[in-house]
Amino acid sequence: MAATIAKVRIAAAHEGDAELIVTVAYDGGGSSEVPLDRHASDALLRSCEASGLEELIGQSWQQVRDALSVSYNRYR
Amino acid sequence: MFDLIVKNGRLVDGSGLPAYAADIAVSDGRIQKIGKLDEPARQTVDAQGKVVAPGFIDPHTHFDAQLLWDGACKPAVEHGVTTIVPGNCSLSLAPLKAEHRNKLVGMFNQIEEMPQKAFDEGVVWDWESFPEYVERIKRDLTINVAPLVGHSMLRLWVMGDAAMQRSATPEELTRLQALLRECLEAGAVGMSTSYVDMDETLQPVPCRHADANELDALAAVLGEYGRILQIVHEFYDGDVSVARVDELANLSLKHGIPTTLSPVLVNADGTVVVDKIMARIREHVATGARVWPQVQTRPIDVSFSFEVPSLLFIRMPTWYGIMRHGTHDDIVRAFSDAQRRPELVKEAASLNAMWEQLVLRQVQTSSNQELVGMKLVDIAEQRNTGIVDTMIDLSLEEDLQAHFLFADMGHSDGQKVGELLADPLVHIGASDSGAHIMSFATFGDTGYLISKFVRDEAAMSLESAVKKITYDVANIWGLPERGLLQEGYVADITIFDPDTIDRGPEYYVQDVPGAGSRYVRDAVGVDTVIIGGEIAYEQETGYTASKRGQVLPGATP
Repeated sequence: MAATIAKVRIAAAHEGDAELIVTVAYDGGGSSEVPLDRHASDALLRSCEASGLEELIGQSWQQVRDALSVSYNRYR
Repeated sequence: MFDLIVKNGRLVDGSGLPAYAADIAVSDGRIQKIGKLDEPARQTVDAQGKVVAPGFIDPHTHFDAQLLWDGACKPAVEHGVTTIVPGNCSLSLAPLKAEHRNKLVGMFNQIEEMPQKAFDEGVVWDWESFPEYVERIKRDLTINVAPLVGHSMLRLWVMGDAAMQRSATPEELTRLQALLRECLEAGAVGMSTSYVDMDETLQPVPCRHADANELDALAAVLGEYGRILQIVHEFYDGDVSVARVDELANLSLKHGIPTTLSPVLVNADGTVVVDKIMARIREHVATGARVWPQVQTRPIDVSFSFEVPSLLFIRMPTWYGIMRHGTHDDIVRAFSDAQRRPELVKEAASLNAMWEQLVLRQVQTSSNQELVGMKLVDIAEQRNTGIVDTMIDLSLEEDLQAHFLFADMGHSDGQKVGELLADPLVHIGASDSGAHIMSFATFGDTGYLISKFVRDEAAMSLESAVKKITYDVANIWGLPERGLLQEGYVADITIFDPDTIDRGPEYYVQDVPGAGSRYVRDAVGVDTVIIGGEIAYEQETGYTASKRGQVLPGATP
């Protein structure tokens, strides 16, 4: 499994905040859009040592998974 | 002699058929006669030049708490809404044991932004069961209420803390079914559940620990009564949303129930997702399933202050770094530094198109109050400085509590949203009224439907738009004798000016118990609202003392 981030954009979330939509592209040609809130986005930038969105392109899907976990578990 | 006659209006009767000129006579809360009427009445409303329509029905609200201190759910009625459905997204205020009150308040605070103090000062907890809750809210109703019972509340009642940990045992499942029956017998119009919402500790709400077997068993009970199942699906994920449509279609066919999912949104490049969902719904509807996607009319606005690092700044590494890593004092220091200012302004220049659209939304000082509602570009001109400098200056003057608004950032493709709203398989709803009270105003979606998608976009006729928010809602939700202007039907009537009806500007008001605040919008062009045969609101004089609202039980086929 070598799915990687192919595209990143900023979008409006249902709750009136901005969110990051990360497109993950798979080996087989498919793709998924994953929305990240501010906390997950921060975690993704940090773990990828990225200072801008462009630097996220090509990063592994596992970074996205872990960033989501950071946000999800932040009050545990 | 009739109680009330509405004269000289143009009737858009909710059926979708062409408008026609007629008078309406009302007595005993019901429409008695429609036609050219010369009989006397105790009260006459002159609707010359206005449209007379059935009262609007809002199927997705969170007025649960507000209903306990405001039986009109202001400002819903003045927007022409005569019936609301609270209890969406798995959360209702009953059934609720005393020991779970704090848990419920926490969930409402997390999900709907209803503050703890509002419950402390606005709510007398004098009910536990659903029948007791229905009796409680009946005491003081201006608006009609068709309440859902929340799946999370059923689980908390039966399973206690285990509701937040695991699926139900067979014995618990039987008790959940019995409890749901009790709620439906007492007037619940259906049941709501969620695959998305989190509680106050950011853990899944109780209903998210249910397995498919549990939902199937509860849907079977809904099937005994022909009542509706509402879900919040993973709306941010297209593929999972399609899977939820499949799940709802299966439950609908198996148990003979209507189902609805909300919200379905159109984003900048998300139309493919919407198209996928609608294609799957068309397939299921063709087999007899009843799956109604709820689409909201209003676009999504994004707001921010310098205090919390919005992702809108993520393309500006210096700015985002300051906001992301800095304390309040660090942020103030960085933006106050005259030597750093040129660098910051230069970095922001790449997004000038966005700054030009920004509106100053909220401030805390009286000196800047008059600027609220103005575009930043106009404030900059007034101050004879640049837009970015103005944004920074205002933030510093307000100790970082200046809030800015980027309007229409999502769900804003007028043509695509209009096509979707006009689709006969789409249910107009998802207003979320009564929720997110400190983030944005959820009122006036019905006026916006007519101003934007009838007048501006011409996406549908006025008759179709009115049908979508009256008869269609009554039909989907099983609300008998509502949603049509028809002799014998309950006299819930909204009279409005078709040329001006709209939502007014958003503003902040302190009217929540416990000195709480919320965003609201006034109505534009709504002349008179009649509920249960009595005038509940008039544009010129405001709300009356009328209390003709009812709790509407769903119809059982």
